[in-house]
Amino acid sequence: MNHFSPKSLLFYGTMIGGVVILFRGVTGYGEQNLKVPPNLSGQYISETPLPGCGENTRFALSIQQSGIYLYGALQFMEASSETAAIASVPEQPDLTLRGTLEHPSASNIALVGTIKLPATCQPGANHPANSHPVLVKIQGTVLKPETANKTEKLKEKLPAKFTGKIALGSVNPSEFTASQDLSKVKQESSH
Amino acid sequence: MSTIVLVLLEVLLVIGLSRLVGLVFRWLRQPLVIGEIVAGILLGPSFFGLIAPDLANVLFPPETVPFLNVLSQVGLIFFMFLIGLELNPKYLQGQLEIAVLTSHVSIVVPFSLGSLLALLLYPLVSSGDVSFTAFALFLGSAMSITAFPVLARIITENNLQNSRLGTLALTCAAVDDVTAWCLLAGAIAVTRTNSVLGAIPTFVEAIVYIAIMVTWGRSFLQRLAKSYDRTGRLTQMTLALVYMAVVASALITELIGIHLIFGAFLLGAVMPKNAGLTREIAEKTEDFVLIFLLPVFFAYSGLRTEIGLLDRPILWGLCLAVLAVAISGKYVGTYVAGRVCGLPHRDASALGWLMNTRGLTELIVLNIGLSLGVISPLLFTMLVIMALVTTFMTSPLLEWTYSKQLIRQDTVDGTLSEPVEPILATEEANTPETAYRILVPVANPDTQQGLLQLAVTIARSQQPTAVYPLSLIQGLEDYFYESTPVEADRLIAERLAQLEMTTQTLILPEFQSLMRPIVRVANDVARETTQIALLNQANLILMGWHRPAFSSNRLGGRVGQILSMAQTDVAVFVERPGTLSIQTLLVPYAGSVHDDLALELALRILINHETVSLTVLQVVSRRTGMSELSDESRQIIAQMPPGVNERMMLNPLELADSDPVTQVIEASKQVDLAIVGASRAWGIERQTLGQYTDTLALECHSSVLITHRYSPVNSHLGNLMTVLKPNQPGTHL
Repeated sequence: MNHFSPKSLLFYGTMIGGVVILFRGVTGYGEQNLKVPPNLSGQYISETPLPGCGENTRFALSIQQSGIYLYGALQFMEASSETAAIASVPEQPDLTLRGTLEHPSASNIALVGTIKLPATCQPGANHPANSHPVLVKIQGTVLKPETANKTEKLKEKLPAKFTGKIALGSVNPSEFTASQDLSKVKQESSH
Repeated sequence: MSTIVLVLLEVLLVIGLSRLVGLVFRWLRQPLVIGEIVAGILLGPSFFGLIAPDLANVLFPPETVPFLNVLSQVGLIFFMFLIGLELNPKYLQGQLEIAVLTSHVSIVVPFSLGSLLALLLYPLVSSGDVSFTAFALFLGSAMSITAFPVLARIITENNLQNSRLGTLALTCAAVDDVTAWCLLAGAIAVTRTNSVLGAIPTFVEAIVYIAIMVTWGRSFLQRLAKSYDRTGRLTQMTLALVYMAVVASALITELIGIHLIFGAFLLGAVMPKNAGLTREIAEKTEDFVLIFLLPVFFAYSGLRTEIGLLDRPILWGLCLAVLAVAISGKYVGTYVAGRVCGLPHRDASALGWLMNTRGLTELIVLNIGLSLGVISPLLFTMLVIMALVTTFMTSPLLEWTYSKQLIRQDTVDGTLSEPVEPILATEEANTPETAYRILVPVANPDTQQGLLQLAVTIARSQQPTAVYPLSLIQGLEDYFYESTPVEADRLIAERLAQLEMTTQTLILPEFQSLMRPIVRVANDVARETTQIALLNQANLILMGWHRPAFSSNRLGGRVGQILSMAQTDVAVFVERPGTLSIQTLLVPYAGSVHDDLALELALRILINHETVSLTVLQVVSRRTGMSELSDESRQIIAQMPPGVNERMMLNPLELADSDPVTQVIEASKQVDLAIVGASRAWGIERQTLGQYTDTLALECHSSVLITHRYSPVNSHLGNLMTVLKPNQPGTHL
């Protein structure tokens, strides 16, 4: 087959045209009709202590998101002051929490899994510290910063807030608020 | 521990493990690169992080990851330069029209299916930061990849580079490679700007840069090639300039908004394909890049691959869908295009499997996608699994569809022969089915002249015979420049010429016609040798001893492997320096099948060489009497004509007098060659771990030929006995 014969040119033209039409059709449909969840990945550091875990103990909730599938890790650390200056947060958390976004466009998160509590945490009489892993349930909403009248660059500088409830084992859930650690966001994007 | 110490420890671990796992995959007859990718995954959260999370955190703490990233990016830039360097227009000579059509259809079909699959995957595994267009474009590109470098190595190591299918697959993959990189560059530009329109300036800048490189860049580099031709060597200054150009080109494409790798690839691609210059640049660059930096890239990828994320049946279902689209898209596209172009069903099907090889190229694409955030960690893991599966399945599916032996027979010029020995086509046709054939593996023709002479001594006869000196080019590792098809062909031609020259200087002109040299690329020398012996219906494999790297056993290492694996009789020649010609033979005989083979070979030499004499030392036990000759041996000796019988002496060897091995060693002082069966009686036996002892070979005063019989049915005198006049039975025995 000669590449420049009319038959050949017609074939290639049809093939390329077909792919372009198909691609345009698919992307047109996808852009208009397919809803994807907002990006919720990041590390959220609690602003208040957890009941039973000591006044200086904070937790960091790391969320790794792949679409509607959420993977999380809960780590505890000591905060030296009210402003939660973090002593050390392990950066390669073991993602033991699992969750699925039931509605792609929503920011409501539900994560369930088991973790090992630090020695300072004794959430209930039935759960002595450092014993078996305890079941954790986290439910909450990620609130992105208000975007009205703010430029994109400014928005990036504002941390998202995670507000919700956390239940350790059979203890009643307690409410918490956590702020997104923007240094992690910057690191991730630079990688 | 300081970060630099940790990084160095990580690199140590990464290189060690990637070599180790690579060797395991080599043993499984898979490309080394799959092993290296798997080693990277093993070091990551999928395995190491799972079984020893604390140790994994200590050895691979997050602060070292950016350093690994930098090392891997540098490695990737130079690896892409090497890929571009080996993209030789010679590959575009094989059935170009079929190849262009097939490769484009083989991109269009998986790309289209990938775009359709995006409709399913986008709402499930992507996030709002990525536009659907970028996601679909990237997924389509990832599905359309064919890894030219891996495919080229699979083809070379199976000696298919001169077959019709091999050249077609190489041409298709080369066209595919260029097209897929362009597609990927487009996908990256669209991802970075998040729209097709926004990416248009990037496209324009990229096209301008490519045009500059193809015109001015190429013309400048051609001057470099001319300068190399004048001096004949690559100076450090020139190499420094080349490396600077690689980095500069990578930076320019990064600034344009495509990716670092394209600049490096482009520079390699436009380098003039001057054989000497290209080879020298590649050889100077590849060792460090491929041994040191590339495994770091695999480890970096492995750290980002988390198979544990696939923890729900639905996710494995999605992974299977990705796999099905990738495999069927590539296979169906290639198969249909091949059939339309008139390829037979089997060829088109085999081409479909070959084009499914994705390997390392896919991994590069996926890492870019993950870094840009266009694919999520979950989809990255699914696509890594797809890349591994599609590369792993190529060799077995190819063998299942179209055996490599048949592919090799269908050469480009239409002749039916082994591709690496085309000059033998007519001679081979002249060798009758009944000919006596000896395969002689020759590691180094210069140091194994005695072996070739012995082969001719054994083969020489008035009946049809053939000697196949076999030279295997081994150790061609994945991705090394010398294992590219063009370079492998050059090495084969060089080795063939060397082998022919050696045989011409050693062998008398009247026996030159016996020689049928074979040169092949092989990774498993023992396995390839035994297979070639089988294919050529060799009656005997005659090989020299080879001291293994970690022991002094003469029958260890590869010799031991061939002794164990061969499905024909084997003889191992231990040459004593100073033996000029073979006139006197010694065969110690204790009644084993291996001793029978020794006796047969000795008789063969005796029949064909009128000046040679033979002494048989027959074991005599005072308790059981003299060991009986086997029926076959007795019959053969009975048929020997008087002229042969007169030159044969049968001496008893008293077991009670002293150790029989010592007596044989003593008797070997009087002869030029002792032919000894690999039996316990002579201290040569196979032990529990498959090793052979080699006492006799070590201490004999003459040269020794150790014989190992595979099948008593195989006769080494068969075609000679028909011309011998029967002797009076029982004359000497």
